[in-house]
Amino acid sequence: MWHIPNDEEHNHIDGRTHEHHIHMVNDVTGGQHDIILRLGVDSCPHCKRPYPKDDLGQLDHIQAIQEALEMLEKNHAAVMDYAAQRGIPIKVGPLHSRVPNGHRLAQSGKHKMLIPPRKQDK
Amino acid sequence: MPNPISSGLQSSAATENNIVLNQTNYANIDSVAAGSSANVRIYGSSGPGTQYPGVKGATETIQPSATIIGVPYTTNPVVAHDGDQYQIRNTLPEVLADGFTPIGSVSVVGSGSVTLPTVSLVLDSHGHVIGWNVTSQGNGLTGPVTLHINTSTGSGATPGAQTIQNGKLISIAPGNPGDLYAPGDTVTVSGGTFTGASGGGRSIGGNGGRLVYNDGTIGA
Repeated sequence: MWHIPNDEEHNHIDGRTHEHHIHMVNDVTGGQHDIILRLGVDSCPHCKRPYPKDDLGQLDHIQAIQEALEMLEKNHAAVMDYAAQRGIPIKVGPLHSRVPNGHRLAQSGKHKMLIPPRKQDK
Repeated sequence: MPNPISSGLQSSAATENNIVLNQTNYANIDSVAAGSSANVRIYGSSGPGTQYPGVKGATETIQPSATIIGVPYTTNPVVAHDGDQYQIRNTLPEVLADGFTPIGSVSVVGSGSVTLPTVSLVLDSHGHVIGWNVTSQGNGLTGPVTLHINTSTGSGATPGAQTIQNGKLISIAPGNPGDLYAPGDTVTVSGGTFTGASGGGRSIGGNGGRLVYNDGTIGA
């Protein structure tokens, strides 16, 4: 399912651009979704001159992650359900690392395919 | 017999200006209002949260989708991918460095209005407001709406907490029931907090492989 890998590379602030980068990965499909929170972009709405920021504590990155997670999990569940109902394999990306219960992984040419359970197994 | 020479990657300095390359992508980019700023979304043809293919020469790679939060209204930023993560910059030249893959541009529209919901009262037989019926949820809300009861007899009723999801008013909790309201009383809705309208964008890659025209604008 969707998660943030537990290392600095996947959840860090770029001190040069003042952006909080969060890289989310789906361990079943190998999908990726990036969230970028621009921390230093307050500016005058007329002249665009940036304001200095001295309080970022009010920004809620947990909420941003949660909103993205809800969307991604809903998409993921729909695709998995579609594939399972029709017995269609799912091509997974290189970041795939987990085979859900009842599924199996197969190599097809240079691609990895997640094979949903046979209908009579469900 | 001559031996092939591997020259490695070709740099921009070794090419003609604005040479056409077999490089493109199929990203969709747009912006949606999120309170005082907007979110820029990068996604594939199946909608937000889905990935899209990028093409360089004979190689197609699937690129991550993304949500960029906190982008000011009335701006026209350009998004690129630096190989590890997305970068959003204010102008096109800022994403032309070798190693960056320009992805698309987006207009973050700074004006617009909400579509207000419509609400009616639920009264008991004594003229108390026992509920607020959301008859139309509206759209684009970023804050609570203001509710005014048009009445010639009643007084004292106030709404409870409002539930707003994805810009729509889902429900209004009962508040103070007040007294002496009549079945013909109506509710006027206003507010909903200022919001920017959604802004469209376009993939830089959607121009037959040419990334940038000679005049510096983004190819259509």
